[in-house]
Amino acid sequence: MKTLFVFYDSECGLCSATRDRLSRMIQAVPLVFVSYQDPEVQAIFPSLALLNPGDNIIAMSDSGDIYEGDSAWITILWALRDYRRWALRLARPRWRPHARRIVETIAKNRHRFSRVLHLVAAAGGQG
Amino acid sequence: MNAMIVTYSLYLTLSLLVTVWVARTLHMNGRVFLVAAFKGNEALADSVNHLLVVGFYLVNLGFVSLYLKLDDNVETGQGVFEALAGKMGTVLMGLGLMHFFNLFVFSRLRRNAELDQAPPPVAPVSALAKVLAGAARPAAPPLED
Repeated sequence: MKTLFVFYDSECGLCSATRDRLSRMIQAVPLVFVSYQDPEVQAIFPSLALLNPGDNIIAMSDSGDIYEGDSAWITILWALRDYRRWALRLARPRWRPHARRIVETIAKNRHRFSRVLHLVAAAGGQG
Repeated sequence: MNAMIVTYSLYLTLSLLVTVWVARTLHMNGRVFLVAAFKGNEALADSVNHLLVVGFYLVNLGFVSLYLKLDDNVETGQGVFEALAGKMGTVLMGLGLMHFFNLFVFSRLRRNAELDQAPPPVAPVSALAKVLAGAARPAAPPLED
């Protein structure tokens, strides 16, 4: 894998803040953040809508492998040099269900979390 | 030749032999770890292996010489053994610690190398080709075991 494209929700403060944090980390595989609401992206990649990017974070490798939700998050952690160990750990059967539950809970309540944490969506990053 | 000289000679001979033995063990068995750590670059692995063994010899022989001097006079055959045992015990413990430290370094190097080469730990839920072909996306992909 040479690049990991991350389709995130740019209208969610928590997601934008997370994008900024992840962009600053050391990446073993470069992460490219793309807002799924970006009209340009929707024009180039209309099939993105089939993946329901509004429900769950979507990650796609340069070779076209698609990850979503917990598997997207684990793959993102794997792409970060200092968190690869965590990715391998979370992918184990013992931790995977917890990872999935946490990711789903946060994804479902991301706008509420953004309000509580006073995180306002802001454009920026690479996408 | 008095008992002191006998003790010193035996101490130097034994320490030297043990140091050479441990260093050779490290040199022979550590190589495979280093080759893995350097992703199959054997020239680099051999070079680092050699440098490590030189460091190992220097530290151990330095310790052995610094630790040579006996505090008490040795006069009897029994004294030779007692003094020698005390000295050799410490030298062996030092060698053992160095050896374990080396093993720790080797295994760490290997683990990091494995981590660098590890593929993504989860399987993709779909592929771009399938999505473009309009195939339905699986609602909830089954967990891998």
